[in-house]
Amino acid sequence: MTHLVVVNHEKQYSIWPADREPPAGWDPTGVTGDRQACLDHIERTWTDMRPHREP
Amino acid sequence: MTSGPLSFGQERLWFLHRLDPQDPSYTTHYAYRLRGGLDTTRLQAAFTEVVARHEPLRTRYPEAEDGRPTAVIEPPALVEIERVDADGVRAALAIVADRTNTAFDLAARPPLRVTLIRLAADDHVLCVVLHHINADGWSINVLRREVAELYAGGTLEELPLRYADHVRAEREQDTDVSWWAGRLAGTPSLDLPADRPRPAVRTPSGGEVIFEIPPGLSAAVNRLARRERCTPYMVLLAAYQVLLARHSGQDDFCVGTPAAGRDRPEVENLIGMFSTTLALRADLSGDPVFAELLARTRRGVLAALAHREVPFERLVGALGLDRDLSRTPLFQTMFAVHTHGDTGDPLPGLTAAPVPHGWHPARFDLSMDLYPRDDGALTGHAIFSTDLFDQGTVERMTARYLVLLEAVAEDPRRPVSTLPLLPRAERDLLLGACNDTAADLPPVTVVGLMLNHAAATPDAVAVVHDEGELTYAELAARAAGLAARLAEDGIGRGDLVAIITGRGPETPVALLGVAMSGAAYLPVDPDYPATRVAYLLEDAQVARVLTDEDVRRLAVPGATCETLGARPEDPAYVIYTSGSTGRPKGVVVPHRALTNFLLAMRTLLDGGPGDTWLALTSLSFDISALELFLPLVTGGRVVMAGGIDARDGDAVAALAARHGVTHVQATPSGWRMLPGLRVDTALAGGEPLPPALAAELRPNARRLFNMYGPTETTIWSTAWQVPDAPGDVAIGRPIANTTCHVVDRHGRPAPIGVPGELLIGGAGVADGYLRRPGLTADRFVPDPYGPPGARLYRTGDLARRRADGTLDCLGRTDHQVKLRGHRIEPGEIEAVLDAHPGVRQSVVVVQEETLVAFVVGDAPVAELRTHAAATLPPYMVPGAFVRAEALPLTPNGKVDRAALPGDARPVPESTAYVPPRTDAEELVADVYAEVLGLEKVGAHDDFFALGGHSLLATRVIAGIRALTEVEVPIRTIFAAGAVADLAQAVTDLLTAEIDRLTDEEAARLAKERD
Repeated sequence: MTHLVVVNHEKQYSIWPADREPPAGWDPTGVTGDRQACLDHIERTWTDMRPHREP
Repeated sequence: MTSGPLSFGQERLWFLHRLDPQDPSYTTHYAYRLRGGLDTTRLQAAFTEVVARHEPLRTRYPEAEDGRPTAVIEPPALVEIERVDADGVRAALAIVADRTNTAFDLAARPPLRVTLIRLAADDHVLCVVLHHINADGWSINVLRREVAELYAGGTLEELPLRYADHVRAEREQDTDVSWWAGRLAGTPSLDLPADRPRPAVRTPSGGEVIFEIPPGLSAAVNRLARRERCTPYMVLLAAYQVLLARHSGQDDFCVGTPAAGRDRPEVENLIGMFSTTLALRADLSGDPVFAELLARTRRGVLAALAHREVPFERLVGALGLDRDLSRTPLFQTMFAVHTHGDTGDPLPGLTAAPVPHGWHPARFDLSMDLYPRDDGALTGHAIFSTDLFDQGTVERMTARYLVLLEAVAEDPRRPVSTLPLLPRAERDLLLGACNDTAADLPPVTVVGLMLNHAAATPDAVAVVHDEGELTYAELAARAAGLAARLAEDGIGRGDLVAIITGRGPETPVALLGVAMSGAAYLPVDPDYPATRVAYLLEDAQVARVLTDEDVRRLAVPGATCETLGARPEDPAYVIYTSGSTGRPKGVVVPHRALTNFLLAMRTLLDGGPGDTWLALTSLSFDISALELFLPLVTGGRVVMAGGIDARDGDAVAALAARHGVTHVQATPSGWRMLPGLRVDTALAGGEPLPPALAAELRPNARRLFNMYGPTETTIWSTAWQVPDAPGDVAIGRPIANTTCHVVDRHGRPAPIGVPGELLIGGAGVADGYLRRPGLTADRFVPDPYGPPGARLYRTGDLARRRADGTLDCLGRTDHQVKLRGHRIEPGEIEAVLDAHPGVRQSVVVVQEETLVAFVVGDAPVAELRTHAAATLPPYMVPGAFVRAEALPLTPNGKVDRAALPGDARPVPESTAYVPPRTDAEELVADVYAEVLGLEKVGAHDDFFALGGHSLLATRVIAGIRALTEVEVPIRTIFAAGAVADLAQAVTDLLTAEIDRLTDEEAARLAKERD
C-alpha cells in the first residue's frame, strides 16, 4: 500500500495511507512510496527530532 | 413395516441426535391461534390422511445392530392429537414453547407431535412439531396446505414418488465429494469475538434478536442487485460476509446456506428432508470493493448450486473436521433469505394468526434468517449461541449490518475495509464519551509542583530512608545545589544526565537536581550488566553520569548558580525499553507529559499530604517515577527501600510497617512476593493481572487499581479500580487528557467487543525514540480524532472495548499465535490455567509447533490437562505442561518469555506402528480395522486420523457393544480417539460395571439375610 510522508506543526514526521486524506494538522511532504520507503526516507531526513514548540 | 437407508442429510441429523438426544435444535414447527368453531374430529382425520400419504411422517430412525442408522416406516395409523386446556394466552404459549423445545426420540417413534390447546370453546392454539429429519421448511408448507385442504372437505392428488425413491436416487447419483473437498480444504473456522470463552463441547442454548430491514433499504438492496446482475439474496449474503469479516478480522471462512433441493416437479408436493446446506467459502482477500465481493459471491453461490448434492458426513470426514465438538464443522454460521411463507389459511373457516413458538436453540454460533414481509421490508431473526454471546452483542451486530447495507446500497465501489460499520450512537460513544477526559493542565513541571510544597510546608518530611529523613526544604536545597554544580559544568537544556543510583535518598535529589538544571535524566539500574550500561551510555550520548557517590558530593545546599530549569516542553527523562526485537531504544518523555501524568494520578487517587509511598521499583522501569514524584506533588512522603531485596516479602512488609507506608505499586509478579503486605492503596501494572491474583490482593488494600500503559505514553495511561469480587480483570479507562482507540488492521475504530490494536493519544504521548526517526514515525502516527497535528502511539497491544466503555487488554498482538489454522491467544489459556486453585501463575508459549504451558503451583499435570480440556477447545489445550519453581523475570519484574527454557517440549510420540499391547487394545484395534476396512491398526493409531468420521464412530460404538456389552458414550471417541485411549476408556467402563454389579449383588445378599 502506498503511503505519504506527512509532517505536523512541531516538525514531527509520520506516515499515512495515500488513499486517505491526512488528518487535520498533518501536511504531505510530497514524498510517497511503500511503507518502508517512507520510513527510510524519514530515517535519513528527520535529523533534528526535538519538537518545534512555542514555549 | 419396511426399513431402508437414510438420505445423506438425514444421516447428519441422525448423528447429531445420537450425539445429544436432548438437543431440540432440529425440531421444526408451526403454531396458530384459531378462532371459530373447530371440528376436532375432522382435524384428526385430516392429519391422519396426510400422515398416511407421506411415509416420512410415519418413519422412525433406530440404530441397527451394527451401529448404522435405519429408516423404519410404520404402517398408517390414527394420528393422536394431544388435547390440553390453558387458562390464558400466556399459559398456551408456554405449552407451545415446551412442545417446540422438547426433543424427540427418533428411534422410538416417528417425530410428529400435534397439540391442540383449548382456550375457550371457539378459541384454540394448534401447535405442530416435527423433526427436520422428516420434514424440511418446505414440508411444513405442504403439511399445512394439505391439512387445510382435507379439513375443508377437498381431496388430494396421488403422490408421484415416495421419499425412499429420493434416497435411492441420491445414493445412485455421482456425488462430487472431491469437488467440495478441494474447494473447502483449509478453510479456517470463523472466530467471531465472543463474550465468553468457547466451551469444549458446544451446547444448543440459544437466544434471538429480531430486527427489521425497512422497506426503503430493502428496495435499495433490490436496485443494487439488479444493477450488479445478481439476486437480492447475494447482496444480503455478501454484506453479511463483510459483517463477519469486520468482526472476526478474517477474510476467509465459510457461511452455510440452505438450498431447497426441490428442483424436480415430482418432489414438489412431498413431505421429507430434501433441503441441503451448502458451505459457501467467503473470499474477501485483497480488500475488494463491495461490487467485486458481490461478483465473487455470485460465482461461489452458482458453483455451489451446481454441486449441491453434498454427502455432508463424508465431506466432514474427508476434510478431517470431525474431531472438534466445540464448534460445528465446516461452517459456524448460517445465512438464509426465505421465500414468502404460505399465507393461506391453515384451517378454512377459522380465523388464524401465527403465534410465537418460543423456540430458539442455536444450531450454530450465529445464524441470520431474513423473511420478506408484505410491505417490502425484511424481518431478520439472528439466533445466537448463548455459550458465546450476550443479547446486546448480537443486537449491536444486527445494527451494524443495517449500517453496512445502507453503505453498500449507496456506493458499492468502496473497499470493504472502508465501509462504514458503526451506527452513529456507537461511534459517538467510542470516539466521544469513552475519551471524554479533558482536564486542566497548567504549564508547570514536577520541580515547580515540588517547590510549591517546599515553600508552603518546608519542614514537612519529603523523603524517608532507614538512616534518616529529608524535609521538603532540605530536598529542595540539595537538588538546587546539584543543579548549580551541573550548570557550572555547562549542563542544561538539551543535555542528558545518566543517573546510576540505588534506592537511597540520593535518587530523588538527583532526579530533581537534573530537572532544575534543565537537563533530562537517563535512569540506569546499577544492577545491570556492565555491557548493557555501556550500551545505554553510548547510545544515549549522555553529558554526565551521576552515581550515589557523585550525588552526595555535589548536592550541597547553599551553592548557587544561574540555572534555567526545564520548561514543560523540554524532555524530562529518556528511558530505555527492550522491544521483542532489535536493540533497546530510548523513549523521550517531555515534562508536560510527566506533569499531566502526575496531576492525573493525584486526581485519580485523591492524593494528599498523608500519602506515604514506597519506592520499590527499579529506577530503570519508568513506573518508578510515580513512586518517587507523586508523593512530592501531593505533599506526602516517599520511603526509599534502601538495600532491601524487593522480592523479600517479609523485609518489605517490615519496612512498610516501620515507616507507615500507605501506597505501594508493583507488577503482578512483584505482588506475588508480597503476600503479607497490607496497605491503603495498591497499584498493580506492567503485565496482565490474573483474576485469581486480583481476588487474592483485593482484601489486602482499601483500594486496588489495575494500571496499564506503555512507556511511550508516560507510565500509566489507563486505570481500573478492582471491585470487591473481581471477575474478569479490565484495564479500565484512560486517565486525564488521554484518549484510547481500539482499531482494526486498517486503522478504523473497532466495534464494541471486537479486539483490535490499542492506540493511545493525548498529553502523555512521548516525543519519540531518541535518534530513531524511522521507528518514531512508524509507531507514533497522525491522530485523526485529536487536535490538529496530534499523534497516537501504536501500542502493539490487543484490546477490546466493553459495552460500558471499559477496556480489556488481551495481550500483545505479537504474542498471538497461529497454530494449525487456529488463531490462539496465549493469555486466554493462561487465564483458564490460573483459575485452577493449584496454579499460582502460568505462561503459555509456542515451542516447535506445540503449545507449552509453564506452570508455578502444585496442581498435578494430569489434572491441569483435564481442567484445560474441560473449558477450552482441543486446539487450545497445551500439548505439554512444564512445572516451574518460579518464572524468569525481566529486571523490571515482568515475566521474561524469551528466557523460558526452550527444550521443555516432550519428544513427539513415534508414528511407527506399535501393535496392540493389551486385550482391550486388541479389541478396539479389531473394531477400528473392521469399521474402516483396514488390515492392521496399531495401539497409537487414531480413529479420525485413519479416516474415521462421525457416522463410522457410531459403528465403532456398536462393535464394542457387540463384543463387550459395554455402551461407550459416543463423545468418548472424540476425546479419546487413539486405540490405547479408547481401550482404557472401555476398561474403565467395564471395571465400573463390575463394581456396580457387585454392589447390587451385595444388596441382594443383604436383603436375603433380612
